[in-house]
Amino acid sequence: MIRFANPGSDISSFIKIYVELYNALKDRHSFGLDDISKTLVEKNLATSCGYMGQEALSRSTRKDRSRDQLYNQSKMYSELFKMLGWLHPTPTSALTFQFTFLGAHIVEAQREPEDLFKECILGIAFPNSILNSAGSYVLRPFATILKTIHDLGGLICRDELIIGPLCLENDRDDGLYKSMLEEIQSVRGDVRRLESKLSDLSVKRKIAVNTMGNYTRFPLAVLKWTGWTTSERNSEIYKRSIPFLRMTDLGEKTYQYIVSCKDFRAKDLAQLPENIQAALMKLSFLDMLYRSGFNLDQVSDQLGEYRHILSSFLDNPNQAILFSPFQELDPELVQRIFPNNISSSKITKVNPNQELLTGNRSSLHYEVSTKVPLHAIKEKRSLSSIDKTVTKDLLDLYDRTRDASQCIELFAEEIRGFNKDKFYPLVASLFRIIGYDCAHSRAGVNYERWDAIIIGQTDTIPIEIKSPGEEEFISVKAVRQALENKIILLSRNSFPTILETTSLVVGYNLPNDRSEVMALISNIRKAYGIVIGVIDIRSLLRLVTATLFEGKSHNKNDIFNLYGIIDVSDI
Amino acid sequence: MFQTFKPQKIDRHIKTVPENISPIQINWGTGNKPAIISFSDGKTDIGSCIRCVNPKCIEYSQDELRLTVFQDFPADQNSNVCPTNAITWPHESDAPIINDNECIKCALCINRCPVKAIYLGTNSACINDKPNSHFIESKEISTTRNTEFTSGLFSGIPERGLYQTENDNVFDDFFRKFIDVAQDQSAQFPNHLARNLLIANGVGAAMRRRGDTNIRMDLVLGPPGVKQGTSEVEFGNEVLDAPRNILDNIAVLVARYELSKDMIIPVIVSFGLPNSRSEYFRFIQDVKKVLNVKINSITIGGLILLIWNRTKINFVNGDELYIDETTSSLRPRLEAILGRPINLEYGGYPGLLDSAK
Repeated sequence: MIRFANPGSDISSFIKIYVELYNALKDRHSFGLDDISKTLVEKNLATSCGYMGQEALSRSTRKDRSRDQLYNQSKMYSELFKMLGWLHPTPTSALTFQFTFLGAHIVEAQREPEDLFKECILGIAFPNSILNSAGSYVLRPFATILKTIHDLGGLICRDELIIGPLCLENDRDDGLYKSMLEEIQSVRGDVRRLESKLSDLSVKRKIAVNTMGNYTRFPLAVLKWTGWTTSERNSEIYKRSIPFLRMTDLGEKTYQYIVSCKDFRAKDLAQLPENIQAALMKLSFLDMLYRSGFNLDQVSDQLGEYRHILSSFLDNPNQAILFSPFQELDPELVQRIFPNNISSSKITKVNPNQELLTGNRSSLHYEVSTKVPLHAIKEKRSLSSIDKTVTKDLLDLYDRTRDASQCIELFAEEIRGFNKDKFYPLVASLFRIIGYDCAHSRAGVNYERWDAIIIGQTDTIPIEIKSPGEEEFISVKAVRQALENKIILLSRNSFPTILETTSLVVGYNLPNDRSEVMALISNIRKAYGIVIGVIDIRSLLRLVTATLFEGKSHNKNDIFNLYGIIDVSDI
Repeated sequence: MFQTFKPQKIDRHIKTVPENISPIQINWGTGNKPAIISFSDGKTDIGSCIRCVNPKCIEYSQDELRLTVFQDFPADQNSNVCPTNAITWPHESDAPIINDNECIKCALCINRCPVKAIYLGTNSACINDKPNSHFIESKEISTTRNTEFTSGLFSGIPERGLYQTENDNVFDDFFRKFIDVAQDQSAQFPNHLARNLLIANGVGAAMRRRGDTNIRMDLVLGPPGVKQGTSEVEFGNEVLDAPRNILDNIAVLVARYELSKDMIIPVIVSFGLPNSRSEYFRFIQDVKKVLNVKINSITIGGLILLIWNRTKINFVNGDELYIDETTSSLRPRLEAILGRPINLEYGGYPGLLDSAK
């Protein structure tokens, strides 16, 4: 499958980012990904780890560059800019770049880059000498996409794009194109056939279905932004409402234009005499500019001359050529043909920021945790029937395994599918087992926003619960709700509480992006003085098993003061 | 650097007024027609397009979109004035054109036209390009003269009247068309529309880039109109979550910029006010009681109403648009800004001024 990176789906912003990079780095002979990241941050065009500006840069930078968010974002931009012929790799490294003569015209187009952008989109072709693309595709993807939509009657959905034009091995082989079209037509009518085809493709290409979907984001954004397609839902084709792209009049016009063009590829060029090659490169590039609204008066004579030289290769003297030398040919060859395409600036050494590469970052100051020391206490508790059932289940598991950790894992696995109807009462029950007076709220009681509450004699803790059915990993949304719970409790005085007492979040797994959740918890305390604690189900179960099997208990007041993510590792 | 080819110059037939004549007053009357301009020569004329070199009706300059506060906020710098892209200027056209199928009559373009050549017609905004005896086309007119003209000559000229007189029917039509047009817009449309409406109302605003998962707040606000603020924009049922989300925004800004929570003005922009029985208004009251944070609420229709009346919002106390369970209607707040009663009997469209019951 042709893989399009997806640094962002807003094409206007995408073009503006190139213009900003060009203006910032144009005087450099070449530049690297760190220079791109630095410029993105300086121009407030990127964020990382929840931070903006320089803070984003320092927080993003990691020794392992594959985990470096900004570096990866810059890499994705550079891949697309290369695909569009706006950047070329330098001869020494695929990850250092130079701006191209074509790219300079995108900047020159200023407020109206649309036409040239569309030319560049149609100019994308594989194989080419700019990108190390995987596979052996012979494909002009966007021309093929438009042709496919046209031949399918004007409608296509995302997954059909995946199994169809984006996986077509050779768009110059009529037989292959026809089978691709027939394959799409054969799955229509039953969404399961489409899903099954997608799943087969996923196995064959060793790409997850979701990832294949991600590869379509840029093409989908382009098709919409160019006005070639619009979005609509269609429930007739697959007997289920699915988002489709519908070809517009402009899309149809563009398709007709593509059909009327002479489509040259890099491979065709290699077989032509050198003078013809040069004429073809120059004419095709200058025509791209002309169609995009550039004034070529100063080279009109040469244009006529090139056309004359190429006349025997064209169906008619004025036939448009579909070929973009900056997007297909070896950068060194292109530089020889376009003398303008030589930077006049002095060669400056590409200087990857060593400090960024090696780290030297400040520690994540918001990484807070509260330890819950356990003390052996024995206490009388009145347990409900659900508490007894939960206790019995845990005891049975412990009897089988004789290991608290295994017991916790098995129990956690059993409840992985729980929705809120089962999970909320379970959480309340677990708190009761370890000695708290905890009740879960009745569904539909609007004024009780919390999902459960721990009631003390003089103090109360509202609990926001997220069942694994709602979200497997605790998110910022749950933290926001915990803040809301606390405000409501303080305002409406339905139970006694004080500002300093924690508001709890209990969920199945700890947050996926722990730093984002912790940053918010820290920010909330700083802004409002409200304290939020987070407990995942395994930690809660650990408190329970310690109580049940090891005769231990913890200082109950610690929960009332819990700030940040609970740490039960020392039990 | 590269010696590039230049974009072809498009002959726009630009216009200006003679050096010795200047506009002295603008009158919109009761709306729905081009403005009448009184000139220093004692004559009047209707506003007509002068084909600005930098058409303000279509595009903001980057300077206009730059906030003086929260400078490292990674803003989407989409400079389109029209959030539905209804106004364009094709090469073959003398003046910009408006696609009446896409125009929602928000009046943003009207608000920005320096020579008052755009007005609200029955179905959409319309551009008046009829000849005007005071706006003269001449090959000799320099682009500088045209630019100076657009930016300076009309600014500060007294204006009277309004773009559109409100009534329930007008908002009924607005509501129907908005629902139709909005469904084809991108996911950034609510933020884009809210940002531009706030700017037109005199409040500096920048919107987050779509897809930037590191920034959760929809808009940040700044001068003019407000010292510093933040906004959540919700057009659907998610508006019920907006109060808690905006508390998240404030917390982030407090931590990031070393501000006190009391210095940040929160504004929720929604399409309509939520149901009065929902927890929205009660929670806003809780927030005020516990945190002393006053969350303002405004609807898209409310912002458009203010633009039609050419008024501006100025957050002096920070609670100019604060409503809660005790007064869940925007009517008194907007009437205070307009300085007159609002002529809407049942509130225009559901939730425009009063929360649905």
